[in-house]
Amino acid sequence: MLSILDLLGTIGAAALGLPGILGVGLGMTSRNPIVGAALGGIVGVASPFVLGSSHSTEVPITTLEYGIALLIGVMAGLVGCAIRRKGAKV
Amino acid sequence: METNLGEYRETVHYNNHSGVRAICSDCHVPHEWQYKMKAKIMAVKDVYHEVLGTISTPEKYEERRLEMASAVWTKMKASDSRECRNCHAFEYMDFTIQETRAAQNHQKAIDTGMTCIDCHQGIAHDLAPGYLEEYNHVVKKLAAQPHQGPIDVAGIKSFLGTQSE
Repeated sequence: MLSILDLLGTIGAAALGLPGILGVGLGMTSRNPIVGAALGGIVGVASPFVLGSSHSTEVPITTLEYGIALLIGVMAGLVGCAIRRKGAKV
Repeated sequence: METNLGEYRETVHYNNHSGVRAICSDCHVPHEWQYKMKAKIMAVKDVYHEVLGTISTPEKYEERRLEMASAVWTKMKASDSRECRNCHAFEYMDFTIQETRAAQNHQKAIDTGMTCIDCHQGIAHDLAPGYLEEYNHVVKKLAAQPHQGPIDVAGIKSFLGTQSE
């Protein structure tokens, strides 16, 4: 069981990592929130593979880490989509 | 932070024959971005307690030493000593030029799936009284978590020289 601090750290790391940053970026490529959320979700699932693994150890990435990254990715995708809908005039 | 810095300055990670130094972040901050960010966020509590003066005197520090060490051991055990392994790898160790005791213990660690922190708890900072009991508690706590791989708690206890259950 994660402590609150551990949980906050995991959420913050996801928001400051690929799921948050690339999720917003990819979300901004579409005006459709479903597409934006899906793109963010894909990044969220892929990011623990890309950034969460270690070259030197065999520690498995936990389901919770995947879950949080997915959730943050989806939310970031929706935020990106909202930016596109409200902000872009082209 | 001065107490633990002073202790570290007395160790081989600070001063050694080769001149290669491991600084605080080498052991306490992961290289991988996701875990690095997580460590940075979690370190906010260190700033908070530094401001509050939670460990501002040697007496206060000693009161909290075991608790702080336990938190770091838990992280290291859970990550299979990831930060140690950024520099040290069993694969590249030449046991023939290690001391006999070290070579034997490293071979045993490979055979039994142990990790660096199982033996090297006091590698950079002084150990608090009762540290072995606390480390056993850490190992048992992690072994009880469902997502962890199989951990040979009895083997580690035996290796540490404490009675296995």
